[in-house]
Amino acid sequence: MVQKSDPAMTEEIQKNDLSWMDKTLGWGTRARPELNGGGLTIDAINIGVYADIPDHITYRNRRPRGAWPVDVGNIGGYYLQDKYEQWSDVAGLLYEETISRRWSTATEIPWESVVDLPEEIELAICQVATELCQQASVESEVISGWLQNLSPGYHEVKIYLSTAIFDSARMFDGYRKRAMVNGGGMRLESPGKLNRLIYESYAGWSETVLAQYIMRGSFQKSILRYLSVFGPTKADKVLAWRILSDRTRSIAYAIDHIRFAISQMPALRETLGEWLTRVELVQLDEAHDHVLWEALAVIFGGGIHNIDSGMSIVEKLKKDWINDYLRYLKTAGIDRANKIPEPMQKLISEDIGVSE
Amino acid sequence: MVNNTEKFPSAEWFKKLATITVQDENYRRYGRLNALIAFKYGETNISCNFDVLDINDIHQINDEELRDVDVVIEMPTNIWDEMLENISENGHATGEWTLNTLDLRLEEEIHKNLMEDGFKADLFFRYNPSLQVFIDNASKVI
Repeated sequence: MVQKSDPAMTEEIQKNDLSWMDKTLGWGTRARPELNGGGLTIDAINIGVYADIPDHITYRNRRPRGAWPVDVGNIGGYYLQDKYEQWSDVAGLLYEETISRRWSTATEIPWESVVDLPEEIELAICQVATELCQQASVESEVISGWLQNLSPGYHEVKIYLSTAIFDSARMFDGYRKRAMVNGGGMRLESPGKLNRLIYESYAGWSETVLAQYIMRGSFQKSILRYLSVFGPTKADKVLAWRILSDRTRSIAYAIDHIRFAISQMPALRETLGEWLTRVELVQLDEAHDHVLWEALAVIFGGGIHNIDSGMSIVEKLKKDWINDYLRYLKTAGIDRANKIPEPMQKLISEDIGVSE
Repeated sequence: MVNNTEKFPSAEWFKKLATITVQDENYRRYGRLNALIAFKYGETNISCNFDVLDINDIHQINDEELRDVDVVIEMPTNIWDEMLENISENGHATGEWTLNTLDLRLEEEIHKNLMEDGFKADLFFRYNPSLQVFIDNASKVI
């Protein structure tokens, strides 16, 4: 509330500079909480002049959107200055959602249920845990590495990605704890071919988003979905089920970002399609590694003696994965149905009978 | 006495379920959600608006209107019945009877977006813990 100045205050003003006090673009703007328990959300404060989210941020420095400018020139980083390069309309909502739906692997997984597993199944689940752990660690590092390059003018995206890094940290800790809780420990490192491609995807943020959140995201989503049903213990099922929710949140950002990027810059459909060809080939190459598939087949089949039955479930998982991948891309505005490599085409066209 | 308009799968039944659920600490613990979800039982479609921590605008819709919702949850009526029986017996869905398990185990997934929108269809997974509490509360509807 602004009050009338009294003589004492006038004297104080004369003693001090206080010229900063009129440096505001939106004095008098008052944000209100959302209805139905949402509270004062990051989207709810986008009102008045602060609701203006420009298509281009003219400065490359740390100035928060809507702050009074000080001419400090450009500094290192922040070189993604265009909205289409990073924006998603749902970033603010996803940020609030991640915080509202926060949870802990320490206390919300029934770890006590991880007992008395046959050795081969313990080995198999720990192999899967090791690979998921490594993938989550790569994700945290890659997304963190990008943050300084994204403009603070689009803070909704930056703060959402901060929570996405937290989600990937939780995936890392959850699966590391799983590997350590019942004697199996960390197992064989993955071939890491897609890891390397994701690390090297500095051509653009959208390229990283496609590799990390659409290709790898759909891959992890399928694995988590199947573990949430076929996991060997209640803890394995609950862990995968909870992380599955987190995983689909980052996929949601990715779909919405790519959709927005293409709507603003239609030529991107072509260039991102070319990038996806490379991503798909690298992922296919990595998929030739038999370790992860065998480990999953042992889990799904209930042991080595039933690995063939488990492998038919793995084949269905792969089919679901590619179908999800294509569906996400189509929703984002990229139709790859007739462009994915032949082995992927084959996977989704084959009728896979699953015996359990 | 419960009349037919208050029985599953009527809008009145879903309104009771919503009233119980929005006061359920377990539901609130899972956090906010935003999704328009339709539950399809045979020819009956009930639309529910999961609006942050509230559940509102619950009403019957026709098949054409299903295109406008984010997610349709549909399964054979005998599976609906058996799932609700399991929930009634145990206070919550056990093992094979959770929404997530049915979705993977049944020949056809129980969740879909009729416009094949991957973003919207995935709300089923994004909010699955909350949706499971909602359905589990069927055990408390009298």
